[in-house]
Amino acid sequence: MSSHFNYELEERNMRNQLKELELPYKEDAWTNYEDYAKQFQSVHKAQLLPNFNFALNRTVILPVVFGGIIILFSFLLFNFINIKNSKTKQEVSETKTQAVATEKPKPQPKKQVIVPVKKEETPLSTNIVTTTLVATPTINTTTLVVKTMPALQTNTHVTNPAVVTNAVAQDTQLAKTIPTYTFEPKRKRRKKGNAEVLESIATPVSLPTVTQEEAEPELR
Amino acid sequence: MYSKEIIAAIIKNDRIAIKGLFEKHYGKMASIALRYCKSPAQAAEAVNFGFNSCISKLQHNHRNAHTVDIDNTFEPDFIKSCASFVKGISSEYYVASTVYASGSSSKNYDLFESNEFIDFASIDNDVLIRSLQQLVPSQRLVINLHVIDGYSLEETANIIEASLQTVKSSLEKARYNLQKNVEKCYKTMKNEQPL
Repeated sequence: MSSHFNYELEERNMRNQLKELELPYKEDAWTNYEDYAKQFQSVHKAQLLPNFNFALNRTVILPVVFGGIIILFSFLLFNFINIKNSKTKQEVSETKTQAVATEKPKPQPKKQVIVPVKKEETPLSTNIVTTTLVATPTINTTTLVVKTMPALQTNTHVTNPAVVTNAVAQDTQLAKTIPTYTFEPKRKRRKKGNAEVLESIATPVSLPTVTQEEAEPELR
Repeated sequence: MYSKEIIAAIIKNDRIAIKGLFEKHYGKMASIALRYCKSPAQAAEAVNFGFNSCISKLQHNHRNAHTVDIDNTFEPDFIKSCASFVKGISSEYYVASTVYASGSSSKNYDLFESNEFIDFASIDNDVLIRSLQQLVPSQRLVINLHVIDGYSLEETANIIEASLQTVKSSLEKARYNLQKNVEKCYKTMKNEQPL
């Protein structure tokens, strides 16, 4: 633009002129518009479904991809580090199915059968302790202990049932109403140990008897 | 003033009501489109585009349509849609804007040629419109919006989506080029006149 330029256009007149300007109506213009509007409507009618504009930028894609990778990797690790063994799970399931299959109806309470128990005379325990004192001039006494184990065994085995049977016999009325169960203790089979017989030391014959007293020397 | 029934018919896309609106506003729309576009053919397209966008805007805002005065709102809406139409032809708008607008006229500049024969106060409408159409799109938009339609520089900048400085520089160039175009048009008209 040259510096000698003088703007001589009168903008006010120009504005008034152009603002007042109106072109005559033409029928062709309306038909032209109708064609245009039909095209416009057909384009818009084709898009009946709502438009979802997803901005697929790298700001969206990258986090999604990384998130997917992390999830896949975590699944992979989860499969590797399986806390519960599959075998135990299978066993548990098998046992459950077996339990369901073998579940029997509840057993009916057994009828009370009171069996008369014969009283047995409890043999008294006999502990035989034999003490033999051998009077010797040098060795005074020797003790010999002989244990009778069979006697003890009989004592223990018999006493317990006897107590139970006594209680049952006394409370016969209660026994009719309340079912009683008699529990027999398991008998422990012990090997019958024979009493060990210790050999006594044979007394020397030459030893003087107690009765043979030495004559005391007379004091002078 | 349009009655509520006509507005309701336009909203319902009634053909007769729309045609009535088109007939009433066509003269104004065509004159506006002529000075915003580079040719009558483009102006016809701009009329269709602008009118269609005005109707669709009215139909979309149908809740407030009964209270809106169409006579007052139709023209500004059409001007804005016309400006967006011109700006939408990006192949013309951006390419032409980068070219120095007064290049061709500066070559033919004659120092001894005076403008005393031209009365700028009373320029013919055809000359004005033709000289406006010869401007590049950005300058044409700025001078139409600011000088003729009376928008402020800020409003013009908002409409054409440009900075205020760009609008100011475009306006300067547009004024210069418009005057040169008017002179040129008068010269050609003189030359065309039969002896």
